[in-house]
Amino acid sequence: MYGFYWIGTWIQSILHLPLTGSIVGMLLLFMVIQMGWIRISWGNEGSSWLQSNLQLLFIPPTVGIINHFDFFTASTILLVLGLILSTLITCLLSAKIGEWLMTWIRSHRDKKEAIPCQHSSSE
Amino acid sequence: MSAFIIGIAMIALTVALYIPATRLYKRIKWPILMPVLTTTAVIVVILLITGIKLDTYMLGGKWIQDLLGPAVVSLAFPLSKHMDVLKRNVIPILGGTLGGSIVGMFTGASVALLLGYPKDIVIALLPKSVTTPVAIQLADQAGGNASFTSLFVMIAGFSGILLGPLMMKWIRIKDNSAYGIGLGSASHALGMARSFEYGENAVALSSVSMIVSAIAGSLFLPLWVSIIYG
Repeated sequence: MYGFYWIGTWIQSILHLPLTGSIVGMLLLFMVIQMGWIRISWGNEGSSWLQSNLQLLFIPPTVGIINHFDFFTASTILLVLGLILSTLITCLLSAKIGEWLMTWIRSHRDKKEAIPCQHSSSE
Repeated sequence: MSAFIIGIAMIALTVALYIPATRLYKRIKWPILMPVLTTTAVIVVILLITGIKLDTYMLGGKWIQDLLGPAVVSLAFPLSKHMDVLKRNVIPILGGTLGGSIVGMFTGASVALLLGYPKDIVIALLPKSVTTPVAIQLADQAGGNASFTSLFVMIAGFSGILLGPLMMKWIRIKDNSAYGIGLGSASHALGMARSFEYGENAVALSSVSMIVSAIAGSLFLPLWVSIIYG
């Protein structure tokens, strides 16, 4: 099971592209799966285990904040508040645009399907 | 050799704290009790009390962190599994994520510029909604202070997963999939982890949004830097 992660990391280490190895590796693995060379079922269990425990992987970099405690002065509180606000704007905007486009596409699709139906009833 | 033993001990410590933290979170479900937060807080306290240096902790912590790369790579599996969901939602994903990441970078940079922060901090702040391993590389390449980037990415991650769902509920977003897009494009992998609560579709969409926003980030970041600093 773990062999497939190694394949992934191996692919990522070979490509020294600026677009970060892990994403390139993921796109490559994705293409390989789409071409049917690797079955989803081979890596499914392991990848879902890794992803459901993803939070564990963030603990070490987060603990790194310990070296940045001096950063938290009065003036930086505003920066952090701005950051939080900016993040929430990002979150709300992408969710809203996403939802809006989803409903738009759905209604568009319904119209397309409705037209031939009307034709058949008029004939 | 002793570094190896210390490393193992630090991994054991992290996992030993993480497991009960996960159980606690599953039982109580308060966002404040997310395992990353509780475990990190306990480890920080332990390090401060015992006087263990961050470098010592990172002997083991680095190994856990190194799994992030394969974890990003393994996203290919759920991505393929949800191919039909993704095909149906290509436009919402692209529209939502691109819109969010452009505005997110603009607002983030504006705040830092208004407060008079230096160039390396402003650039470090730009990729705040991009997944950590990618964001660090991006900030580094553009001349930002990459060690602050991980801090900003963490702030974006936590504020997004703690307040994002509340705010999205407040502006009446009903579609669970849209929650996934919002969380993935604003709060990267943390948002993805949170979107497990909104079902498989949301997880699929948030993972794609995270990936698209990482790609969008690497395209837009140099553009912003050249707009701001000529």
